[in-house]
Amino acid sequence: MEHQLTETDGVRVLAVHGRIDVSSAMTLRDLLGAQIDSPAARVLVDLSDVALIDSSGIGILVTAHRRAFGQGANFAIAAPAAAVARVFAMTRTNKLLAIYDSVEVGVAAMRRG
Amino acid sequence: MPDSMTISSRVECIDDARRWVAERAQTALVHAGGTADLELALTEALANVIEHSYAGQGAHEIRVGTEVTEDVIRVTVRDWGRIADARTFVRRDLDDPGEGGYGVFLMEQLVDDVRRELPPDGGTLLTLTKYLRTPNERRRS
Repeated sequence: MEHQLTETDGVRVLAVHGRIDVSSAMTLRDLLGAQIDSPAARVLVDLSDVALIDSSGIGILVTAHRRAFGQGANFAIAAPAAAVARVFAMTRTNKLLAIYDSVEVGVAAMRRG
Repeated sequence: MPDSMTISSRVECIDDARRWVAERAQTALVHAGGTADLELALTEALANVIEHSYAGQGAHEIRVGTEVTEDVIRVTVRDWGRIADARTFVRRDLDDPGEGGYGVFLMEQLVDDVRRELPPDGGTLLTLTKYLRTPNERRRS
């Protein structure tokens, strides 16, 4: 798993590349923990280049969502590929997490929010 | 024809097994998404073995096998570690999302059959079976 962090209109966009599994989940947890650092934080995770996410990755995203919610920060997912979106649907975490169709739509929504 | 490879019980080795199985599945599976499903089910199975059967210790062996027949692809995961009691596996209540408990559920959703056997020489043999054709395709043939 690799990543890039950029900022657009006050929204921190974490683009993740590769596969998110038990070997990389702790890295993702630390990355998200560092970014969800204040009530003003707006963090969008770009999953467009992620081919696989396992149960540990799903758990990390749920935890990040709860951490952000608890702090009053804003956390969302953008552009999951079909295989990854399917895992969100299977686990019903798509009902909990804010998931946008694209980074552009996500940034626009979070900029306003 | 059955085929197998061995990895160490370390999470960093899961990707090696996943790629090896994906290569075999891609030539056998005819419906879209089947290989991705098998890769994820295998990931969950191996993570369980490393965490539970071998308690996170990386010096043990896990043998991963594939067998392709006319109708199915079977992926086997063989370990010689502690035998986990399947009744104690944590299962996530899907109406209460949380950090853990999705692994076994996902594995069972992603393949058509999950079989757990206890071989006489110890450890566990897990077999993940995925049909090569959809139910409609099987009915038509």
